[in-house]
Amino acid sequence: MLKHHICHIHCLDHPSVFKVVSYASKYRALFNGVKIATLVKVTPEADIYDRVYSILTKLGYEVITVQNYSLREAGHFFNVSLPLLLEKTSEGLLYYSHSKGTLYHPDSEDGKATSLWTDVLYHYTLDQVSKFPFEDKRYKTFGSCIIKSKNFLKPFTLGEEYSYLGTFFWIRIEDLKNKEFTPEASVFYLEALPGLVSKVTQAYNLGPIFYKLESPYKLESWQKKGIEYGFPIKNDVN
Amino acid sequence: MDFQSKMMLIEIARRQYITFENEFREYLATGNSFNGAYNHFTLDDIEAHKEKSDLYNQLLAWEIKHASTRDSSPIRLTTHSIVKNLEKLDGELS
Repeated sequence: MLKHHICHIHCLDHPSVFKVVSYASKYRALFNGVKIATLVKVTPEADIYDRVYSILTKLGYEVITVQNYSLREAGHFFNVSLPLLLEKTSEGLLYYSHSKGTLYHPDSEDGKATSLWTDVLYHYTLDQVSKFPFEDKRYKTFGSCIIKSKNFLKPFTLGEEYSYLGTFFWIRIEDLKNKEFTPEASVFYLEALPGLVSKVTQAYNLGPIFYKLESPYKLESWQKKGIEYGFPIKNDVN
Repeated sequence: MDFQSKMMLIEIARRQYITFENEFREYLATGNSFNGAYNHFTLDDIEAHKEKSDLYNQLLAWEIKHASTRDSSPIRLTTHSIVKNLEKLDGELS
Protein backbone atom coordinates (compact mmCIF):
# COMPACT_ATOMS: atom_id res chain seq x y z
CA MET A 1 0.00 0.00 0.00
CA LEU A 2 1.29 3.45 -0.90
CA LYS A 3 2.03 5.64 2.09
CA HIS A 4 2.39 9.34 1.42
CA HIS A 5 3.60 12.07 3.75
CA ILE A 6 2.78 15.75 3.93
CA CYS A 7 4.52 17.84 6.55
CA HIS A 8 4.57 21.51 7.37
CA ILE A 9 7.50 23.19 9.10
CA HIS A 10 7.93 26.64 10.53
CA CYS A 11 11.71 26.91 10.14
CA LEU A 12 12.86 28.26 13.49
CA ASP A 13 15.79 27.10 15.59
CA HIS A 14 13.42 25.09 17.76
CA PRO A 15 13.44 21.42 18.89
CA SER A 16 10.01 20.73 17.34
CA VAL A 17 11.46 21.49 13.90
CA PHE A 18 14.15 18.86 14.34
CA LYS A 19 11.52 16.36 15.42
CA VAL A 20 9.75 16.59 12.06
CA VAL A 21 12.86 16.08 9.95
CA SER A 22 14.33 13.40 12.20
CA TYR A 23 11.10 11.38 12.02
CA ALA A 24 10.95 11.94 8.26
CA SER A 25 14.44 10.47 8.09
CA LYS A 26 13.79 7.65 10.56
CA TYR A 27 10.71 6.49 8.62
CA ARG A 28 11.90 7.24 5.09
CA ALA A 29 11.45 3.60 4.11
CA LEU A 30 7.85 3.63 5.36
CA PHE A 31 6.86 6.56 3.16
CA ASN A 32 6.99 4.91 -0.26
CA GLY A 33 4.62 7.32 -2.03
CA VAL A 34 4.48 11.07 -2.59
CA LYS A 35 6.36 13.22 -0.08
CA ILE A 36 5.63 16.93 0.17
CA ALA A 37 6.87 19.53 2.65
CA THR A 38 5.76 23.13 3.00
CA LEU A 39 8.31 25.35 4.72
CA VAL A 40 7.87 28.80 6.21
CA LYS A 41 11.18 30.63 5.83
CA VAL A 42 11.91 32.82 8.83
CA THR A 43 14.34 35.50 7.70
CA PRO A 44 16.61 35.80 10.78
CA GLU A 45 16.95 32.02 10.88
CA ALA A 46 17.44 31.34 7.20
CA ASP A 47 20.28 28.92 7.97
CA ILE A 48 17.75 26.60 9.62
CA TYR A 49 15.57 26.78 6.52
CA ASP A 50 18.56 25.96 4.28
CA ARG A 51 19.47 22.93 6.38
CA VAL A 52 15.88 21.65 6.62
CA TYR A 53 15.47 22.16 2.87
CA SER A 54 18.65 20.18 2.21
CA ILE A 55 17.64 17.27 4.46
CA LEU A 56 14.12 16.96 3.07
CA THR A 57 15.32 17.20 -0.52
CA LYS A 58 17.77 14.37 0.11
CA LEU A 59 14.93 12.34 1.59
CA GLY A 60 12.96 12.77 -1.63
CA TYR A 61 10.47 15.44 -0.52
CA GLU A 62 9.10 18.02 -2.87
CA VAL A 63 9.78 21.14 -0.85
CA ILE A 64 7.63 24.23 -1.25
CA THR A 65 8.40 27.52 0.45
CA VAL A 66 5.25 29.25 1.67
CA GLN A 67 4.37 32.49 3.38
CA ASN A 68 2.92 32.33 6.83
CA TYR A 69 -0.61 33.67 6.87
CA SER A 70 -3.77 33.69 8.87
CA LEU A 71 -5.07 30.30 7.81
CA ARG A 72 -1.90 28.73 9.22
CA GLU A 73 -1.39 25.02 8.63
CA ALA A 74 -4.88 24.55 7.20
CA GLY A 75 -4.21 27.09 4.45
CA HIS A 76 -0.90 25.49 3.49
CA PHE A 77 -2.42 22.04 3.46
CA PHE A 78 -5.67 22.67 1.60
CA ASN A 79 -4.38 25.32 -0.81
CA VAL A 80 -0.87 24.03 -1.53
CA SER A 81 0.15 20.52 -0.55
CA LEU A 82 -3.14 18.60 -0.83
CA PRO A 83 -3.94 19.75 -4.42
CA LEU A 84 -0.38 18.86 -5.41
CA LEU A 85 -0.67 15.44 -3.81
CA LEU A 86 -3.98 14.72 -5.55
CA GLU A 87 -2.42 15.66 -8.90
CA LYS A 88 0.16 12.94 -8.37
CA THR A 89 -1.86 10.16 -6.80
CA SER A 90 -5.37 8.94 -6.19
CA GLU A 91 -4.79 6.03 -3.84
CA GLY A 92 -3.04 5.04 -0.66
CA LEU A 93 -2.73 6.55 2.77
CA LEU A 94 -1.57 10.00 3.78
CA TYR A 95 0.32 10.75 6.98
CA TYR A 96 0.19 14.37 8.08
CA SER A 97 2.47 16.03 10.63
CA HIS A 98 3.83 19.48 11.37
CA SER A 99 6.28 21.23 13.65
CA LYS A 100 4.37 21.90 16.79
CA GLY A 101 5.29 24.25 19.59
CA THR A 102 7.48 26.78 17.84
CA LEU A 103 5.48 29.48 19.58
CA TYR A 104 6.77 28.31 22.92
CA HIS A 105 10.22 28.45 24.42
CA PRO A 106 11.27 24.86 25.23
CA ASP A 107 11.87 25.76 28.88
CA SER A 108 8.42 27.23 29.37
CA GLU A 109 5.58 25.13 30.75
CA ASP A 110 3.70 25.33 27.45
CA GLY A 111 6.84 24.38 25.55
CA LYS A 112 7.44 21.29 27.67
CA ALA A 113 3.80 20.25 27.40
CA THR A 114 3.77 20.64 23.62
CA SER A 115 7.01 18.71 23.29
CA LEU A 116 5.66 15.79 25.29
CA TRP A 117 2.37 15.97 23.40
CA THR A 118 4.28 15.69 20.11
CA ASP A 119 6.39 12.79 21.40
CA VAL A 120 3.26 10.89 22.42
CA LEU A 121 1.69 11.39 19.00
CA TYR A 122 4.78 10.38 17.05
CA HIS A 123 5.09 7.31 19.26
CA TYR A 124 1.55 6.13 18.60
CA THR A 125 1.40 7.08 14.93
CA LEU A 126 4.87 6.10 13.66
CA ASP A 127 6.83 4.07 16.20
CA GLN A 128 3.84 1.74 16.51
CA VAL A 129 2.60 2.07 12.94
CA SER A 130 2.65 -1.71 12.39
CA LYS A 131 -0.30 -2.01 14.79
CA PHE A 132 -2.68 -0.06 12.55
CA PRO A 133 -5.09 -2.23 10.51
CA PHE A 134 -4.62 -0.19 7.33
CA GLU A 135 -6.10 -2.97 5.18
CA ASP A 136 -9.36 -2.92 7.13
CA LYS A 137 -11.70 -0.75 5.07
CA ARG A 138 -13.99 -0.14 8.02
CA TYR A 139 -11.53 2.52 9.14
CA LYS A 140 -10.99 5.81 7.34
CA THR A 141 -8.58 7.49 9.72
CA PHE A 142 -5.86 6.24 12.06
CA GLY A 143 -4.20 8.05 14.89
CA SER A 144 -3.88 8.55 18.59
CA CYS A 145 -5.56 10.48 21.34
CA ILE A 146 -9.14 10.68 20.18
CA ILE A 147 -10.77 12.97 22.68
CA LYS A 148 -14.23 13.99 23.68
CA SER A 149 -14.46 17.20 25.58
CA LYS A 150 -17.41 19.52 25.54
CA ASN A 151 -15.43 22.71 25.98
CA PHE A 152 -11.96 22.29 24.60
CA LEU A 153 -12.65 20.19 21.53
CA LYS A 154 -15.32 22.34 19.90
CA PRO A 155 -13.07 24.41 17.61
CA PHE A 156 -11.27 21.29 16.41
CA THR A 157 -14.22 19.19 15.32
CA LEU A 158 -16.78 21.21 13.37
CA GLY A 159 -18.99 18.16 13.52
CA GLU A 160 -18.04 14.82 14.97
CA GLU A 161 -16.74 15.29 18.48
CA TYR A 162 -13.40 13.68 18.04
CA SER A 163 -9.97 14.57 16.80
CA TYR A 164 -6.48 13.19 16.57
CA LEU A 165 -5.13 15.84 18.86
CA GLY A 166 -2.11 17.57 17.46
CA THR A 167 -2.62 16.88 13.75
CA PHE A 168 -0.61 13.72 13.48
CA PHE A 169 -2.81 11.20 11.72
CA TRP A 170 -3.25 8.81 8.81
CA ILE A 171 -6.10 9.31 6.39
CA ARG A 172 -7.18 7.50 3.21
CA ILE A 173 -6.60 9.40 -0.05
CA GLU A 174 -9.92 8.17 -1.41
CA ASP A 175 -11.68 10.16 1.29
CA LEU A 176 -9.87 13.35 0.30
CA LYS A 177 -10.65 13.12 -3.41
CA ASN A 178 -13.61 14.92 -4.93
CA LYS A 179 -14.51 16.53 -1.65
CA GLU A 180 -15.01 20.24 -1.11
CA PHE A 181 -13.09 21.72 1.79
CA THR A 182 -13.47 25.23 3.14
CA PRO A 183 -10.37 25.92 5.24
CA GLU A 184 -11.35 29.53 5.78
CA ALA A 185 -14.10 28.21 8.04
CA SER A 186 -11.68 27.88 10.93
CA VAL A 187 -7.99 28.23 11.75
CA PHE A 188 -8.38 24.77 13.28
CA TYR A 189 -9.76 23.28 10.08
CA LEU A 190 -6.80 20.94 9.68
CA GLU A 191 -7.21 19.69 13.22
CA ALA A 192 -10.82 18.97 12.31
CA LEU A 193 -10.00 17.10 9.10
CA PRO A 194 -10.34 13.52 10.44
CA GLY A 195 -13.73 14.41 11.86
CA LEU A 196 -14.79 15.91 8.53
CA VAL A 197 -14.19 12.75 6.52
CA SER A 198 -15.12 10.00 8.94
CA LYS A 199 -17.38 9.27 11.84
CA VAL A 200 -15.85 8.44 15.18
CA THR A 201 -16.68 4.76 14.63
CA GLN A 202 -14.57 4.83 11.45
CA ALA A 203 -11.54 6.22 13.29
CA TYR A 204 -8.95 3.78 14.58
CA ASN A 205 -7.33 4.95 17.78
CA LEU A 206 -4.03 3.68 19.10
CA GLY A 207 -2.90 4.92 22.47
CA PRO A 208 -4.35 6.97 25.28
CA ILE A 209 -7.76 8.59 24.98
CA PHE A 210 -7.90 12.01 26.52
CA TYR A 211 -11.56 12.21 27.41
CA LYS A 212 -11.07 14.65 30.25
CA LEU A 213 -8.15 16.72 29.03
CA GLU A 214 -9.01 20.34 29.77
CA SER A 215 -6.17 21.75 27.73
CA PRO A 216 -3.34 20.12 25.78
CA TYR A 217 -0.95 22.74 27.11
CA LYS A 218 -0.74 21.22 30.55
CA LEU A 219 2.42 19.24 31.07
CA GLU A 220 0.98 17.51 34.11
CA SER A 221 -1.90 16.05 32.06
CA TRP A 222 0.44 14.52 29.50
CA GLN A 223 2.81 13.13 32.11
CA LYS A 224 -0.06 11.62 34.05
CA LYS A 225 -1.64 10.03 30.96
CA GLY A 226 1.75 9.00 29.62
CA ILE A 227 2.63 7.13 32.78
CA GLU A 228 -0.83 5.60 32.95
CA TYR A 229 -0.46 4.19 29.43
CA GLY A 230 3.21 3.24 29.74
CA PHE A 231 4.38 5.85 27.28
CA PRO A 232 8.20 6.14 27.27
CA ILE A 233 8.43 9.70 28.54
CA LYS A 234 12.11 10.11 27.73
CA ASN A 235 12.45 11.55 24.26
CA ASP A 236 15.03 9.76 22.14
CA VAL A 237 14.82 12.20 19.26
CA ASN A 238 16.21 15.31 20.86
CA MET B 1 32.72 41.32 54.35
CA ASP B 2 31.11 43.91 56.58
CA PHE B 3 27.35 44.32 56.77
CA GLN B 4 27.32 47.65 54.91
CA SER B 5 29.18 46.22 51.90
CA LYS B 6 26.96 43.13 51.77
CA MET B 7 23.86 45.30 51.90
CA MET B 8 25.11 47.35 48.94
CA LEU B 9 25.84 44.22 46.91
CA ILE B 10 22.39 42.87 47.65
CA GLU B 11 20.76 46.15 46.58
CA ILE B 12 22.70 46.12 43.31
CA ALA B 13 21.73 42.46 42.74
CA ARG B 14 18.06 43.29 43.35
CA ARG B 15 18.21 45.77 40.48
CA GLN B 16 20.22 43.47 38.21
CA TYR B 17 18.45 40.16 38.65
CA ILE B 18 14.67 40.07 38.51
CA THR B 19 14.46 36.55 39.97
CA PHE B 20 16.53 37.63 42.98
CA GLU B 21 14.33 40.67 43.45
CA ASN B 22 11.26 38.45 43.43
CA GLU B 23 12.75 36.09 46.01
CA PHE B 24 13.84 39.05 48.16
CA ARG B 25 10.31 40.46 48.11
CA GLU B 26 8.82 37.10 48.94
CA TYR B 27 11.13 36.88 51.96
CA LEU B 28 10.00 40.30 53.15
CA ALA B 29 6.37 39.33 52.57
CA THR B 30 6.68 36.55 55.11
CA GLY B 31 7.21 39.13 57.83
CA ASN B 32 10.97 39.47 57.84
CA SER B 33 12.69 42.85 58.11
CA PHE B 34 15.10 44.35 55.59
CA ASN B 35 17.99 43.79 57.97
CA GLY B 36 16.85 40.19 58.35
CA ALA B 37 16.84 39.80 54.57
CA TYR B 38 20.32 41.31 54.25
CA ASN B 39 21.50 38.74 56.76
CA HIS B 40 19.55 35.88 55.21
CA PHE B 41 20.73 36.12 51.60
CA THR B 42 24.31 35.19 50.77
CA LEU B 43 26.69 36.08 47.97
CA ASP B 44 26.24 32.51 46.67
CA ASP B 45 22.50 33.20 46.37
CA ILE B 46 23.25 36.22 44.21
CA GLU B 47 25.63 34.20 42.07
CA ALA B 48 22.97 31.52 41.50
CA HIS B 49 20.50 34.15 40.35
CA LYS B 50 22.75 35.36 37.53
CA GLU B 51 21.90 32.23 35.52
CA LYS B 52 18.27 32.07 36.69
CA SER B 53 17.72 35.67 35.70
CA ASP B 54 19.24 35.16 32.24
CA LEU B 55 16.86 32.27 31.60
CA TYR B 56 13.91 34.28 32.93
CA ASN B 57 14.71 37.17 30.62
CA GLN B 58 15.14 34.81 27.67
CA LEU B 59 11.72 33.25 28.31
CA LEU B 60 10.13 36.66 28.75
CA ALA B 61 11.64 37.99 25.51
CA TRP B 62 10.53 34.86 23.63
CA GLU B 63 6.99 35.17 24.88
CA ILE B 64 6.75 38.88 24.09
CA LYS B 65 8.11 38.33 20.59
CA HIS B 66 6.02 35.31 19.77
CA ALA B 67 2.82 36.68 21.20
CA SER B 68 2.59 39.08 18.29
CA THR B 69 4.07 37.26 15.33
CA ARG B 70 5.26 33.90 14.13
CA ASP B 71 7.17 35.24 11.17
CA SER B 72 10.38 36.32 12.79
CA SER B 73 12.45 35.28 15.70
CA PRO B 74 15.56 37.30 16.47
CA ILE B 75 15.88 35.43 19.75
CA ARG B 76 18.09 32.47 19.01
CA LEU B 77 17.95 29.55 21.34
CA THR B 78 21.29 28.69 22.84
CA THR B 79 20.40 25.92 25.27
CA HIS B 80 18.18 24.04 22.80
CA SER B 81 19.66 24.91 19.43
CA ILE B 82 19.04 22.31 16.74
CA VAL B 83 21.78 23.55 14.42
CA LYS B 84 24.26 20.78 15.27
CA ASN B 85 21.58 18.09 15.07
CA LEU B 86 20.50 19.33 11.64
CA GLU B 87 24.11 19.49 10.43
CA LYS B 88 24.73 15.95 11.66
CA LEU B 89 21.59 14.55 10.02
CA ASP B 90 22.29 16.43 6.79
CA GLY B 91 25.83 15.05 6.77
CA GLU B 92 24.62 11.49 7.36
CA LEU B 93 22.35 11.74 4.33
CA SER B 94 25.07 12.97 2.00
